[in-house]
Parts: sequence; C-alpha cells; structure tokens
Amino acid sequence: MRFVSRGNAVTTLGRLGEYRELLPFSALLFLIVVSSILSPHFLSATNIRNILAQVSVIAVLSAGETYVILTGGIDLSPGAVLAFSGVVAAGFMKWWGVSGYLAIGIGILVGILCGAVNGLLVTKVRIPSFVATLAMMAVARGGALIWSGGVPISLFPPEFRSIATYFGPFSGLTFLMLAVYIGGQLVLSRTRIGRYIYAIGGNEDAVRYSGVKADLVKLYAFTFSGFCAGLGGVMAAARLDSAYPIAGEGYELDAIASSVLGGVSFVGGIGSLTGTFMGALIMTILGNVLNLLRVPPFYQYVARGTVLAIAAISLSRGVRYAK
Amino acid sequence: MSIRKLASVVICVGLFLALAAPGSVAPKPVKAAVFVSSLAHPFFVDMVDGAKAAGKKFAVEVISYDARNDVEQQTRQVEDAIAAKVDAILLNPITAEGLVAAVKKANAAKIPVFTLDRDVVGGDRIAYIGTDNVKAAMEGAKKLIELLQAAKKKKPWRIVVLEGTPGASSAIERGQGFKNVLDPLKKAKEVDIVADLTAKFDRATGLKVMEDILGTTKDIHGVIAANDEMALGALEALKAAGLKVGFPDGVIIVGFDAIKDAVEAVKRGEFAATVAQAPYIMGYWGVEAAARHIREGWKPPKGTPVYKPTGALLIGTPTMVVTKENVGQVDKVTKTPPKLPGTK
Amino acid sequence: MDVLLKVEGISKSFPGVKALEDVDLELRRGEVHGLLGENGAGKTTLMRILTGIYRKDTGRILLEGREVEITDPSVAKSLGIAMIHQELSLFPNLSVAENILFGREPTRPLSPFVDFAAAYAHAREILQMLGDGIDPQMKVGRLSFGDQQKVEIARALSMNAKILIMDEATSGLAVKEIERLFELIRSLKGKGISIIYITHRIDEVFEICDRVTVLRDGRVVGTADVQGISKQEIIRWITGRTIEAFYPKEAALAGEVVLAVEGLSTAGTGSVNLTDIHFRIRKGEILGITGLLGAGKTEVCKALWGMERVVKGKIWIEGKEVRIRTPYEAQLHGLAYVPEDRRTQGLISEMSVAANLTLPKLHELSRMLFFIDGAKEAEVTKRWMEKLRIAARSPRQKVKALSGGNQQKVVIAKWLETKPKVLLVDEPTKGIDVGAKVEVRRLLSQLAQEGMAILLASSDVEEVLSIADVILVLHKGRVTGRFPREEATKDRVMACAMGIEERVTTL
Repeated sequence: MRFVSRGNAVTTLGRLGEYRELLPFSALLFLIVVSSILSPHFLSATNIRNILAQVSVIAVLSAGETYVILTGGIDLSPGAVLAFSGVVAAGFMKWWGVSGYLAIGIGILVGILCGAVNGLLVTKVRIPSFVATLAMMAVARGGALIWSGGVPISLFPPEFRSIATYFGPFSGLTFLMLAVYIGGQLVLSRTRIGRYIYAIGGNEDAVRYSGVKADLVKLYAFTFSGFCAGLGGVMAAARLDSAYPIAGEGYELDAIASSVLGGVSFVGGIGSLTGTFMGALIMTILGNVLNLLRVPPFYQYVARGTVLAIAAISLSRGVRYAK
Repeated sequence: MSIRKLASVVICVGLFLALAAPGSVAPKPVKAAVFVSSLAHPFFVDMVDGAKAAGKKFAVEVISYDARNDVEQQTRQVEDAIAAKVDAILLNPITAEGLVAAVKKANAAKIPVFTLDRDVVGGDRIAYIGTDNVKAAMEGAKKLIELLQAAKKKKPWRIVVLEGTPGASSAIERGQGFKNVLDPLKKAKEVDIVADLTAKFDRATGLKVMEDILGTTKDIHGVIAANDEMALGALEALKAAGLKVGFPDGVIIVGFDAIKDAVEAVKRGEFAATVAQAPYIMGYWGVEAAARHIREGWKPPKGTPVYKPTGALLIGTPTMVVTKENVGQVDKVTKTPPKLPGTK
Repeated sequence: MDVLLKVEGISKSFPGVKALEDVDLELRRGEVHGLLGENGAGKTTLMRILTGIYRKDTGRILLEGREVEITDPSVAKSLGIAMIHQELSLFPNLSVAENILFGREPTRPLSPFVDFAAAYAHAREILQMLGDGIDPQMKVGRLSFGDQQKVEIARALSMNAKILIMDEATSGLAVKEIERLFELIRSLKGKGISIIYITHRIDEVFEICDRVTVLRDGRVVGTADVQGISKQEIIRWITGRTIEAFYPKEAALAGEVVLAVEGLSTAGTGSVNLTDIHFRIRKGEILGITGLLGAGKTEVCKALWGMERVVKGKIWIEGKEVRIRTPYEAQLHGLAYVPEDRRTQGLISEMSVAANLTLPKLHELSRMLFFIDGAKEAEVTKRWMEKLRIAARSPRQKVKALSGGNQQKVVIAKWLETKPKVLLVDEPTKGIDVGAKVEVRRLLSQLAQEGMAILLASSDVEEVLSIADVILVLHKGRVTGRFPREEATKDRVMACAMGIEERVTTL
C-alpha cells in the first residue's frame, strides 16, 4: 500500500493515537474540571492532600496488578494479601514487641511470599492465574482471620505510624506510592525485565521460542504484585493505626478497574503505570467528589457506575481508533 | 404392715411428689441447639457463653454449632439437629432469607424456634431475641445531644452522621434511630447535619469519608456512627486533620457496638461514648425462654413490640451507653441478665 | 464463455493509503482466474470489497450484467460469492455436517430441535458432489487440513455459491492433497462455478488457472491467458523488475562438522514422533530437510531447540556432546531457530522492530545487565535494517505494520544478531511474496558462504533443491532419503517423501 503525501497531518494524528495514556489523561482532566466547578472545596489544599493520601493504597495495589495484567494474567489476591500482611505486621508489633520498622519489613515480606506462591502456581504447576490467585485470595483471607482471631489489632508504635504522617503538605504514603510508581515505570520502560513483561503479554510463545526464561519473568510480575499488596497492607494499617482481617475486601476489583481505566489491555502487552496511576486517580476522585457534594449513599452507587461505564466506553472507542 | 413396707410406700409417694412438683429438683430434661454464624467473632462467642450459662441454671443441655458464615452449612446443621430430636432451636441466622427453609423444617417437626440477634423472613418463630437497633441508636444519639449540651457548644450543633452499608437492616434501623432523635432538633434549628454519608461499616472507608468531609469544613461538633469501625476511621481522620477530640472541648464521637478498640478509645477519652449490645444476654435469654416455653408454655408477654421487617415479636435485649464513667462496668452490665420479659 | 462478474474502476482509500485505484477485473463463468501480487498489492482489499467486508469508494460491480451493491457480507452470500480463507473458519469441535449447515440447521416443522438425520443426509449429498467420502458425522478437528478445506468449500456450495474466492488455498497442504484440490477445482469448473484463485506460487497458476490478473500498488498491471504468458513475465509484472526466482547456492567449501545428530528419537507432543534421525551439518553447509506435512521437519527443529521430549539420541555441537532441554539452553549452545509460524512463534506484533530484533540478546545491550541501552539498541536495529533491507519507517515502528517478507527478515535478523553457530530455519518463505522469497533464499546462501551451518526445513521441494547442499527427506518421522545436491531431483525426493522409495546414501 502506498502512503498518500498529504502533509504530516495523518501521521501526526496516528502518532498521538499510539499514546494510550492520552485518553485516561483527558478523562482525568475532564473529571477534575467538572469536580472543581461542582464543588468549591475540590481544589483546596486540604482536599488535594487528602486525595493524594487516599489514592495511595489502591494505587500501590494497582501498580502490582498492572504488572500481572501486562503479562496477560490476572491477580485476584491483592485485597486479601493486604489484610494478611497488615495483621501479621501488627501482630509482631503488638504481641512480640517487634520494632515498627522491622514490622514494616515483615509485612512486605508476607506480601512477597504470597506473590511468589501465586507466581509458582502459575508457572510451575501451570494453573491459570485466575484460579491460582482466587485460591490465594481465600487462603490469605483465612490466614488473616486465623492470625488475628477475627478482631482488629490496633495502636502501633510511632515509628510504624511514621510512614502515614505528613511531611510538609504530603503524607508519607503519597511518597511511598510515588516511589513505587517511578521505580515501577522505570523498570517497565527501561529495563530488560520490563521489556520481557511486555513481550510475554504480546506473545508468550514467541518469547519462549526466543530462548528467554519466560517463567522467571512471570514469577517476577506476580512477586511484584505481592510486594505491592504487602506494602499496601502496611500502609493501610499505618494510616488507620489498626490492622483488621476483613480489610481490603474488593480492593482487587478496584485495582483491576484502575488498570483498565488507565488503558492497560486485558489481553496483556499494552499499557503503562502512568496510565494506571491516572486510572487510580479517576476512581479516587470520583468517590471524593461524591462525598464533597454530599450525594446520598444510594445515588452514589448509580453515579459511580455511570461515570465508570462512560469512561470505559470512551476508552474502548479510543483504543479501536488507535489500532 | 411391716416397717419395710411402710418405708417403700413413703419412698414411692415421695418420688411421685418429686416428679410431679413443678420447679422442683429434677425438672423435665430439655435439649436445646444454638446455631451461630461464626465463632471467629467474639460477639458470637459471648452469645454461646450466655446460652451455656443459662443451660446450667435451667438444667438444659446446650449444643452449639458454628456455621463459619456458610448458609448451606448452617442449613445442614439445623437439619442434623432436627434429626437428633432436639427440643428447641436457637438460631442466629447468617442471612434473613437463606435460613427460612431450615426454620420451616423445624416447624414441620414441631420444634420451637427462637431467633437470636438476627431474624429470618419466614417460618414460625416463638420470639426474636436481639437488640432493638432503633431504640439503641436513639440512646446513642440522645447521649450525643446530652454531651453537646453539657459541653456548652454553640448552637446549632454541627453533626456528622456516618451510616452503615446501604440496604443492610442494621444500617437502616440504626439510621432510623439517629433520625428519630436528630430530626426534631434539626427542625428546631438546634442541630445542623453537616453530612449524612455511608462508610459501609468499614474503618478505612470511615477514614476516607471523614477526610472528604473535612476537606469542606472543619467546623464540626459531633460525629455519630452506625458502628465503631467507621467511628474509629473518622477518629483517625479528625486526629490527622489536627482537630481536638473528646468531651468536653473536642469533637464528640459516639460509636456503636462497643468493640474492644472502641472501649479502649472511650477509656482514653477519644470516644465520648459507644453503645454496647449484650450478646451474652441474647444467648442466656434464648435458652431460658426455650426452657420455660417447653416446661411452662412461656410466650412473649402482651405488649411485646413487633419487629416490622419480619413480623416477629422482638424481645429487646438490654443495651448500655458506655462512657468514661461507666466503662469499667461494661462486662458486668452486659453479662448480667435481667429478668426475661413475661416471667415473674 | 459469458462474463459472470465484472468489476469496473474500483477505488478504495484508507486514511493515508490508497489501497486500490481504478481496478478492473472480469470473471467468466466456469473460469479459474488467478489473482497475483505482492503482499499489500491490494488483492485482499479487492476481495474484501467483493465479499462485503469493505465498501468501495468508487466504481461498479456487475453480476451477470446487473449492477449490485455489496453492502455487507450477508449480501455477498445471497449473491453467491463465498470466500475460502487461508486460515479456515471452521469449528473444530463440531461435526462436518454441523459446520456445513451452520446457522441453517434443518428442523422438523414446529420443532425446536435440529433434525440431525436430515442434516447428515444433506451434508452427505453435498460432499458427494465433491466426489469425496468424508463422514458428515466426524468432528472437523479430526480431519486433515486438506479435508477441512473441502468442508469449507462444501459449506460455500451448500449456500449455492457461484463464485468461490480461494486465498492461498494450497499453503497448508501436502503435495498429494494439492493434487486432490486441483482435481476438485477442475470438477467445480465443469459445474460452471467460477473461482478467483489467489496465490503466491506461480507454478500453480500454470497448472490450474485459465487466466491471470496481476495487481501491483493497488493497480491492475495486466490480465492474460496463461497460455500466452511466461513465468518470467508474470514475475516481472508482480515485482516490477526482472528477477531470477531461485538462486542456486555456490558449492560449499567443506568445513568441519558443526552440528551432529545421532539416533535422535522423540516422544513429544507433536503430531509425529521422530525415530532414529542421523545427520551432520558442516560449516558453510545448508542441510535441507523436506517431506510432506506431518513428516517431522518441524519436530527435528524443535527437538534441537529443546521443545520436544528427546527420548534417545545424541547431539554434538562442534564436537562436544550437549544436552538441550529448553530454548534457553539451545541458544546458549549457539543454536538459533527461525520458527515455522512467524506470527504466533516468531514475533510480538504489538512491539517495535527494535524490541523484537533484540529480544534474545537483550542482556548484551543492557548496562549493569539491567537497564536497556536505547542508543545501542537503535544502532543494532538500524544496522540489520540496512543489511537485510528491512523496509520499516524506523526501528520504533511496530512489526505488525510490516509486510510478511519484512517480518520474516526481522525474525532472521534477531537470530543472526546472536551470532549463532547453527541456524535452524523452518519454512522461511511460507506466505511471503515472490520478491521477499528470493531475498530470503539469497540471504541463506550468502550466510552459508560466510561459514554458517544452516538447517533448512521446508515443504517447498524446489526451494530445498535450489539452495541445499545435502537433502534429507523425512516420512512419518523417519529418514527415507538422503541426497547430495547433485543426485537430487524433484521426482526422487518426492518418491521418498511419499514413502514409496527409500534411498539413503552414506554420510
């Protein structure tokens, strides 16, 4: 086929279509503009500070979820792993007097182990990720209930809580989230592992035929997701000054929604953490502005669902054009 | 008549009298089965403890079942108990709809059913023994107003209401209780509802919703929540925003349920109050009512209110508004069963 | 012969691309009309317009002298135009009859249930028209590729198709099956059915077609009777230049043995198990492995690539015995594998040329073994793009936008970058256009001359005959023929491939 030379207009537009983050970004911008018109409080310093703290836990889980979805898999366990690592860290502090910093490490380690088990189930035992992580979801939730005896564990030493305190205008949680995103995005776009992750999502067979150890890469993605869930568990516990076994129920769905809203393709291989971050912000801001506007609870469900559906429709449209 | 003969006659008569006399040393043996949703929750552990205590007192053999929040499991357990021919069923149903079939089976087997803490929507129940959520929520709200008054806050008092998961019966009833107290005051311009939002009975959501509210205003006098989890989340948000909490000069927070963390918060003075329920008494009264129903034909007395959502007669168990002053007595009060209504 | 279909002055543009410009095509009743052209010449676009998938921008379509508007696929169906796809669109889990009558299952009056007896009878009737004894109750997935194709043709006929469009109909077929297909085409012709026959194999045009039309860059280059045109001329029409289709490889300088395989047997997941395979490849030598479909060509490559379970046999590389259990180990030992199906096994179509090209050797392009050196990566990619004349806008262009030939070059380049000792290539010219085929063959010859050992697995006998130094013929997983290049003829090789003859000269 020949390219008709009609200036660069066509190719420039075509290029823009390749930036998948453009659509979530526009959606986010639109939501921010509408929100600030509807509520005078939306753009206040306090509210922005709040949003950046509120988004942190979901955003961190979404980062891990994005890694897994990019490889063409899915992780249903982050919500439960969050609760499990939270109560384990809390238990070590409250019952055995472990220091707050060590407890943070323990919590993250629990997450990493759960993620690694997911990864091994998928790569070695060859269970589909949907089933493997569904099993992990149940086991981790059960683990959290057994460990905590079903009741919240609360009131932690100050060094544990320090990650949730405010440094200047921003919560420590916001910084942790940014660290995960900057590091995670760097790995995705600049390193071999990132390249392999995209490649596996694009065509796992071709990667195997290329002599790359695809299983190791998938294991890495699941372990990273577990790390994120563990970190999320510690962050949530520090923020609430309490870890409870039923924490994070349904968070896995929020994490998946954030990824998809951010333009991450469900079949794998396409998307970025930048997009996911915007997806997570869209989810959080939506909840925030509905509360600012004092929308009654029943109507909040409808409003939230409607906005998500509209966002998803416009996103899938855009994707089709981009192809 | 020989002495021996006389003695045997005396013994026979004595035995006869002993068996016939009501309330005497050897009453009719009763077997009662208690079904709870999940023993992973201390609330239900207390319920079973209360039932067992009553079992000792009233000579009832109490068998307890834990369904681990599995409706099918609970249904099977009820069926097993029917097959084992228990005399009474004390059911804490996992869902109001899911256990109707099990209750109907018990009805068919002519075994009396009492529901504890939660009711079912069908089948025959002698009584529903549990907290009257509307009444208890009203007590909590009244306490909040009383404390606002005592703290001499400027009227109108600015209050935040945190509701439970939309649609859940306990959320609806507690919300109704709050309304019963607050609405007239709102009309009288003594109270200003800053926000009335749901935090889905969840602590993290409570924190988030309170943060959102604080994003619009920091002028808040009181917070009342439909459970302690949400109130504890709100407490974190208020503290993080740098607001003073507690009676009399801070934001006055009233929770519901008196869970351990909340009782601790009351002790520290961060919570002004929380409403304690009495699962122990639910279990105790359940067994007592069952025993009396079988032996004496006990029924809920005239004037017992009807629980509208299900149509059962509600025997309301006592509740207690826990404050810093009486926090030491929580266990004592919630574990000392008063007289079962309809008994002398 | 009267004209059945006439296409006049059809043009079609996509954003930025003029796919068809003023195209005329005439199809007579009972004619087999060859349609040729490189990939991207506009063949597919034209056929999609005829089958209602695309709408034309300008021009007219006349069917039996009446102008028709083919607005969507159902219109094409009702007009009797049917397409037999390169990748068959059958349901492997359903029976032959269910596939043929899909969407039109017969039912008894007032009954919601399929009348299977009627369905089988109807299907049998149509299949008999094709002169073949395929069982209508058999699951389609259990049929050979050639029989599946027949089922697809039967489906078209059952809808009273007058025009069949066959796209690369012989690409997945073994020699014998091709013969049977041609017989079938001739008999359909006799029944007055017209066929548009799209192919890359010019030989087939002379064997089966009456006339041929060649497209290039969206325009018709010309239409001719096959009797009145030479092979060379058709190639010139297609490519726009004169080229020799096959480059005989220069005789190899016999170097030392690089790869030796002895007594290789597999029990793998493939359709055939290898038994007792022996061969050696010297430096600078091309070993051609050929055979029918399912003879075990791909299995030999996969066994060497650690993707088949080897139960017996030894492999030596440069005199050292090696064990290969995974592709990772294989490439560590200096092997490289250009797989059979570049789309599903060779490339990640959503990724750039550069990312695909550097995938196996990414660690060498990384700093601290971790961060990819983008500049170095672009440099390596550009070097290969020039060397193999890969027509891509830039190293960052996605491979899915490239033509089949250029995609294949990317796959080859990605392995050459690993500087392998032995290059395994599996059907390297399948489904790419003539120009690219020539380039790929020339490249393989050249690489051998530079001293690489190459194993070429190909079902195209002529390809193997033209560039291989030694030819190994497989039949059902066993070696049935081994010829030095001078002794090999097409007939001898075919006889061995079909298992009629065995002829194994010593190594």
